[in-house]
Amino acid sequence: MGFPAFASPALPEAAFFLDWEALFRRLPASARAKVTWTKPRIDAGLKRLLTESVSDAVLDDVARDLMEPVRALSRAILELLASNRDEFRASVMDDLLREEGRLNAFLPDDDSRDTLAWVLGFLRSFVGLVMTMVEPEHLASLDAEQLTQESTDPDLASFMRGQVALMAAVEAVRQGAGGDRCSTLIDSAFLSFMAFRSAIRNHGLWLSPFPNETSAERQQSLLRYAARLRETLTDQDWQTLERACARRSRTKTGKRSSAPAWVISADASGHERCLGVPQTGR
Amino acid sequence: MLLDTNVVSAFLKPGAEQRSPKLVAFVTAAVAAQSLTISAFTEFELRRGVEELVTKGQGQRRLVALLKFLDRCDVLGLDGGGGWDFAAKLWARGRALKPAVVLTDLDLLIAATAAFHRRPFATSEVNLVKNLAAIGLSEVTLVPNE
Repeated sequence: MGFPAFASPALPEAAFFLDWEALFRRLPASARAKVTWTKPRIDAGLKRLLTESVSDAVLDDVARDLMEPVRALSRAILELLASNRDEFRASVMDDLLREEGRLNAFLPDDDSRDTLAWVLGFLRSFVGLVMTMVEPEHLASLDAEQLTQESTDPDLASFMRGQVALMAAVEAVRQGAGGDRCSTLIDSAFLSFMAFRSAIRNHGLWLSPFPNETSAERQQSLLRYAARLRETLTDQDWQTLERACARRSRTKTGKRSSAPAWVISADASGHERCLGVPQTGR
Repeated sequence: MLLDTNVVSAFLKPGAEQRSPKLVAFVTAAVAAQSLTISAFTEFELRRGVEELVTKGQGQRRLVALLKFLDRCDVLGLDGGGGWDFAAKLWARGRALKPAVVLTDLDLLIAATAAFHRRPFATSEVNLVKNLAAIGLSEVTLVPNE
């Protein structure tokens, strides 16, 4: 199977990081020495996400800033693990499981824990897929020029945003930062990975965060999310949503249903004109 | 069964179980029978409303909640296999009637999505049911918002 054009071989490198400090410590001294420079840059980037308002702009900035150090660390670990692919995949999955436990214990509500389950489920599916498609040796041997070209890939940017938001969430746990900030970072990671998933879908690839979910489990989840939406969206929010949904069926004679969304008029030649959409909505 | 935006919206509103118990029971039964199936145009309608909230700085958590819900829905579109052609023919069929039946684009496209995928369609809009019947789409269920 060929690798889709979207998914540059550098992409999976970013997937290996949640607890980057643990990864750093796992490196032998000689390998660690080569990537010592990455530590202050990662520290600085994550600090921004723990102290500033987590906006798209800040997330973009940090994702850009951390792309190079994250890749350098990834390459270091890939070089070590390239000789044993199964062990490599197992270590990635183990890392995800461990971090999920730590984050779950720290997050303040079930909703955030549920979002985290989606995020890590998606990462597991993605990393699992990549590991079946790309040899670690190939990833480790990418040259700097290839990586630079790929750093401008918008699909990769959404992946990196999700990645750094997750790294920051792990850092928030380590530092005992507020649970609300951790939730916000998990939400940001979710939205970024959703954008990434949509992007790769355009290349014919669909990944489920819950590939083993049964139909009954899916139905239960759907009903639970519906109940959650009822709690989350207020009547005032629905006024905005209903304006966005405003429409009504109509006939050419101008007869309208009781609460018309479209105001129709006919000019002298009999041509219809839409005069506007009243705010009453649907 | 493909549900119209008005059915899904009523199902998701605060206090839906009290405000619209019959509709909630209908949707819950539809979910239990298969899943919750909507048109990509309904996804667009719901999504753009929440995106407006996000733009106003009120909505990241709301958007996450909506997307998690949508992620569990089956979303059908018109791409591939002549779906858009089918919708265009439906539109023309309505225009050819006397008096002409002219649906809003979203009404037409959502109903066309259901028919194209051979799914029954459920809406809360009485006039839409009548107009769809006039253009030959009869597998439409009216779900009163009660």
